[in-house]
Amino acid sequence: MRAISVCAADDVYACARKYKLGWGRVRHDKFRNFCIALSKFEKSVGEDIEDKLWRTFLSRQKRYRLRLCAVPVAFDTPEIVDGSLMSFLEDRIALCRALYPQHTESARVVFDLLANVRTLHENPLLDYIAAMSPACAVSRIGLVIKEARYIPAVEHAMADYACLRKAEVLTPHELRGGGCYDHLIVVGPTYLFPEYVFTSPRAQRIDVVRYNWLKETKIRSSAFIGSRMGGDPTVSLAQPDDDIVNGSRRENILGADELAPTIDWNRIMEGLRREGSPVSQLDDVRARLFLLDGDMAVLLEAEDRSRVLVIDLDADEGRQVCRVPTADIEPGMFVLLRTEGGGDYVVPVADIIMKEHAPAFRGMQGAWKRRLKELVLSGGLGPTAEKLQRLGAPKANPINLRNWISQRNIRPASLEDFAAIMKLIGWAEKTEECWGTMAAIDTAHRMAGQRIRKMLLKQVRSSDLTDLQRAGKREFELPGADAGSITAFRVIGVSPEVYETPGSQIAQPFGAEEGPCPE
Amino acid sequence: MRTGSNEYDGLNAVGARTGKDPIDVPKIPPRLHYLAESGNWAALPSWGQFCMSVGYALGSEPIGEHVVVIALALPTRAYAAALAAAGAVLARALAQGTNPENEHLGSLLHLPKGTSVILHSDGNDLCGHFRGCRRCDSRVELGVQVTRKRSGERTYWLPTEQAGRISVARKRLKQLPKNPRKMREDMGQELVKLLVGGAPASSYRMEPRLDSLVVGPVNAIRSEVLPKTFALRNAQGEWSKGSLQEVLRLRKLLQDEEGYWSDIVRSNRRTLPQIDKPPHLAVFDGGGGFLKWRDRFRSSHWLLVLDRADPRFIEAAETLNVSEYVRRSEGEPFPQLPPVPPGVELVVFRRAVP
Repeated sequence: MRAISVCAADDVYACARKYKLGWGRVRHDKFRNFCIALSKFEKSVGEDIEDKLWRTFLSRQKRYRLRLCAVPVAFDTPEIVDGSLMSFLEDRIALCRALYPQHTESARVVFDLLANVRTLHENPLLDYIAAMSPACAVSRIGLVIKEARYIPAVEHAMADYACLRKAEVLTPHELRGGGCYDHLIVVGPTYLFPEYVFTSPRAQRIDVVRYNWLKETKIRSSAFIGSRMGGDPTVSLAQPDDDIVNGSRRENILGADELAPTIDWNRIMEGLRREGSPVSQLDDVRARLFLLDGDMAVLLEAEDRSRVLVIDLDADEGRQVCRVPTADIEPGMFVLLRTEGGGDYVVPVADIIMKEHAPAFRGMQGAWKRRLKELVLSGGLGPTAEKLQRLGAPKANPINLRNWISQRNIRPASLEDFAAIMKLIGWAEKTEECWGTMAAIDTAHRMAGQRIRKMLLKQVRSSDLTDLQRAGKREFELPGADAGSITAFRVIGVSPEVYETPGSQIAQPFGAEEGPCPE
Repeated sequence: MRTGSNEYDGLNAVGARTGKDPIDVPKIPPRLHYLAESGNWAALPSWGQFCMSVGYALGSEPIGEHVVVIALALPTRAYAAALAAAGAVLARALAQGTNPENEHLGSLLHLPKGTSVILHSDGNDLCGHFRGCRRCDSRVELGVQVTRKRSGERTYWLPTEQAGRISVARKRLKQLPKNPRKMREDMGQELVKLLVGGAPASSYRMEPRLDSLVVGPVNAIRSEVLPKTFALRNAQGEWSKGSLQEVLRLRKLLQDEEGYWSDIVRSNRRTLPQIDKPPHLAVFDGGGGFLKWRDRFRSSHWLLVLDRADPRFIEAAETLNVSEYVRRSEGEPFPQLPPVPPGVELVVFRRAVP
């Protein structure tokens, strides 16, 4: 993290010393009716939820519901309302009549309630916030929302409220440094935000504003077993118990698992696999799935030597752009992905470095790999690997053989393995020439990687990265590099599992059906 | 073992280490002041004094069969690791006693011949090789061979009283330089003299040691320790200004060949540099460094500084709970620490040295 002065650090500790947490509950009957009805409908569908018809019917409405519970904009704000949502849902209901007649009526009720809400030009969250904000314009007020991409929409909405015109719209990432506020207003239930927003406050007063049918969860204040806490133990992070009103347990309230379900990694992979085209398993690689800011996801190769170019704003200056092993990528880092052309941004730059030799070199590379692949397809991975061993390839085995065939691998590491391949495909006399050519490609790739890294580092150093931190995404143009545009995406989540996936899907960002939600 | 009429093996030399002089080492570190935005000196805030006191307590605690583990969850990481490490180094410097020259002489007497050393002479610092000890008449002398521009190679034999003029070089010299290098004094001594008290400036150019090793963000810590924005009032009521680096003597931020007392490494290095002797205190500034490198420092006291907004805060805290706290040793509690400031969470326990 960036260094701050002793004075700035003292301000942060002052916030912790005098911190007060308040709770604001907002009413809106029509929106509440839609939210509760959607939740009840989901429960009523039962096992039929596995059908894609219901999954998509529910997921799009749930995303709309989540956004409006966490973003203080009007119900009819274009950035929130998916323009095709209503027609999409109507199509689903039409299908439902034929396939699931028992659910049709309930689905229709939910649809009608949604239709009632989405045309309302009302903003109950911001109305409440404006009413609670001090009239004094001197106060430094921050409005904290979960997702950076809605900042412009919120700022636009705030322009209609005189007392909020000077308020800043922030995301949790911006509360990690030294800047403090007089008053922070967090929009949405606490579980949508990282704990540090509340346990490491950047204001002496924080108010959590949410709809009154959303149940809160407990904020954990202590991190260590057997610890001692400094400060006034009576300053509590405990939330009022929304379950109980006038001694009775309330009904019709939404818990965290209903509003913001945890990331279902397998479901995201299923969605990708359905859309992908079947390819030979020879091209499969081990990959890890990353959820990115803005409802996107990407698969990155998880082999031991795999490294990815990232921007790490927390790293020391000069090291903010670096290649890290896939296993070391953490939430908060920004992965750099090519968003135009193919997945690999190094190849076009390497081709520029190789100049007029590039077509011939690439042609030779493709030719020996094609021949090897043909032999594997006809003879099998295992038997082909054994043949290579007999021809003197010490590291020939099915896994390595698959890598050697892959376009993502330039050549085997050792000349012995390569020579055996050349013999097998009938190119023994070309071994030396081919090895030299592959070495040239390898060198060009390394130089390309360094060149891209240097250009990105220069841009990172010279530009204001506030927008990257806020938006969670930013495009970089590398002039003269012909790498197309490279986009930095903030990593939101990392799948615990590794998946077998076609190499063609590596480093290709795609829309994740499941939105980013905290665990 | 005598190797010549004028040489001495040093093991039985007069003036060899006689042990520490007993002194009253303060139980808590003095309260530093910092340069506030107003331009005035303000007392270090309670959280800063707390961090320095925690480090001071760890620096004072000997390592035997157990080491102490302290973890802090803080609203910001700023200055916590730097102040704690400075506290530890200060405690160890004070514990050496008011006569650090004895310990220094003792280490020189055991120094192998040929060791690269620095001879401090008339404002110049000369690189040379240690030539061992010799007895001359009734006194023991220490030899340093240097090359001077006019006189060429020459060996100087210094009486043991002048041992402070010799310090061990950080880098090994394969041959003597043709021209002796003048060392630039780029750090002040005011603050550290006042903190440690009484010892001459040259005594700090001693055999290097690793009182604390910080694993964390180098640039952030650099910007915390280098500026001369700390001070202490001396007996005359004047401000003695300095930087935390004066106290810490972080090797990474020193000129070559100067004695260091602590060091800092980036937490995301692929490998750690070779360390001959484990540090007395390992300070992990951030969860990443703790998770990656803690096993390398199992013979050192630990201080884990965790900013609650650290991306790996939860992971590091859970690892501490599950992997370390459960292995704690029962028994003698750690000495009393100052009250925990608001916003800070502290856990302290002992663990057996493997």
